[in-house]
Amino acid sequence: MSKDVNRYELLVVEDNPGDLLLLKDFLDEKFLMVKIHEAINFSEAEVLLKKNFQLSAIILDLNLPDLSGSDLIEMIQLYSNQTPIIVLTGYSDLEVAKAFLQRGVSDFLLKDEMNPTLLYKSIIYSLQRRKYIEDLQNSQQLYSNLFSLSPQPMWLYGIEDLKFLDVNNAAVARYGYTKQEFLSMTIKDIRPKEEVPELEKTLLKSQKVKNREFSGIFTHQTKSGEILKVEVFSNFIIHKNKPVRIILANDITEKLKYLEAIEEQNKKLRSIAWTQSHVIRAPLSRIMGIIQLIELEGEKCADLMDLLKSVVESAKELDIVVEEIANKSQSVDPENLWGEKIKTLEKPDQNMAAEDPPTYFDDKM
Amino acid sequence: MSNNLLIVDDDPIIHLISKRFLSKIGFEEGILSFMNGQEAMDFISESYQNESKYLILLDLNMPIMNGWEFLESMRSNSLAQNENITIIVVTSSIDKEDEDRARAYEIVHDYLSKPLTLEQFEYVLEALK
Repeated sequence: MSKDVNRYELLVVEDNPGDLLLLKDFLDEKFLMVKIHEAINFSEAEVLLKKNFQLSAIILDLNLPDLSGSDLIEMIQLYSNQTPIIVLTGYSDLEVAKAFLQRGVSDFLLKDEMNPTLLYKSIIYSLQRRKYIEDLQNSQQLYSNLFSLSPQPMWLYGIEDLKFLDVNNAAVARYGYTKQEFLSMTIKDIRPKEEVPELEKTLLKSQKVKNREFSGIFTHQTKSGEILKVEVFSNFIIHKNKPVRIILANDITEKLKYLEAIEEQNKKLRSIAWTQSHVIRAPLSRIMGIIQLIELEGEKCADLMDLLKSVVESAKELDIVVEEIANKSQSVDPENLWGEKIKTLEKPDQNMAAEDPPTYFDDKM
Repeated sequence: MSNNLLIVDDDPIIHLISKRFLSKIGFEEGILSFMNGQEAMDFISESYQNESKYLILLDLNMPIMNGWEFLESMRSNSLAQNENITIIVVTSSIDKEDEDRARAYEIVHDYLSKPLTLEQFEYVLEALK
């Protein structure tokens, strides 16, 4: 078997010089690049541990002159910071060593049965095991962070009693209740009273879609009484053996206000478009009609001057309308979007074009 | 039997221009002018004759009874089923919504934008043939 070419740094704590030599031989046989720190008692080990080497593993004889057994393990663990500890022991300590496994010791090896392969395997397994544990812890931490550090308010509530089971920091910040307060409340307590019947209806509906996602826009109330419009996404999960719903509540109060302001602007723009196509077109089509008539009749046109007069009248009318449009356009000001409620523009009046009928030809034809 | 061309528009100049155009293409008899929908509606209700044809050039924006109200009123009137009555909407509006809304009325034969050209007057008179 060829040697392991990865770099390792080990701490070997062994008071018996013969055993220490043997250990080093075994390690050299299996590892190409291993750096070994040696200690012959706990005090030496302590000094080395305090130096914060990037240790791959600690190989520890359970019986040292200055400390042994579980006391030794506890002290080493104090400094080891999750570094795998492999305990070397004799038959007599076998039962004790087994108990250590439950307390975070990676492995134990019987001195009498140890050989290079066994030692190598134990070190490699211990390293792998530590890696798995770290990955698992990271993943747990990640999911926990996704919930607690999410910038959007999230919570869990029990489907049966509607009680909050957990809330994240964003929910605490947005709703103004402490986490402790939340945990003594139900989801009804963050609704305005008049919304509770609506909530009950929604809950019935969401129960029917138990295994599925559910979403909708609801009205919530903060501790200070502020009314929020929230888009809620929820899903059914089993949490600690209880059926719960996980909620993500996206505060869209500002967004809705913004949309309302845009809708107001759109109304104005529609009104302008309406004016363009109706009010401007009225005098314009009259002018175009008169010109067509003059073209058609040419010199035979008996009332040319009268017709020209009405072209002028219509042109004036057109001028006034254009000015009105210009004024209206100026009121479509983006700064109003966040201002006070934009003054409502009068709705397009179906009879707008008929308000000032032209007066030049007043004989009934 | 007579042909009636009803021009329903609140703009006197439109009446004037229309008459002059129609006269150019030789249509002078039977032109009736109404300043709003109500006047036209009253005329049809009172003077409708079975054997006669009626072509209504209908403006939309008018006081008293606008074109929409006129169309609604015609829809609920039994005369609306009469094949002798044709309505062509003639408006200054170039709003597509207006056009779609007008064309949705079964009784509306066509939708034209003002001002009508000589060719368009020739076209609308087809309805009286």
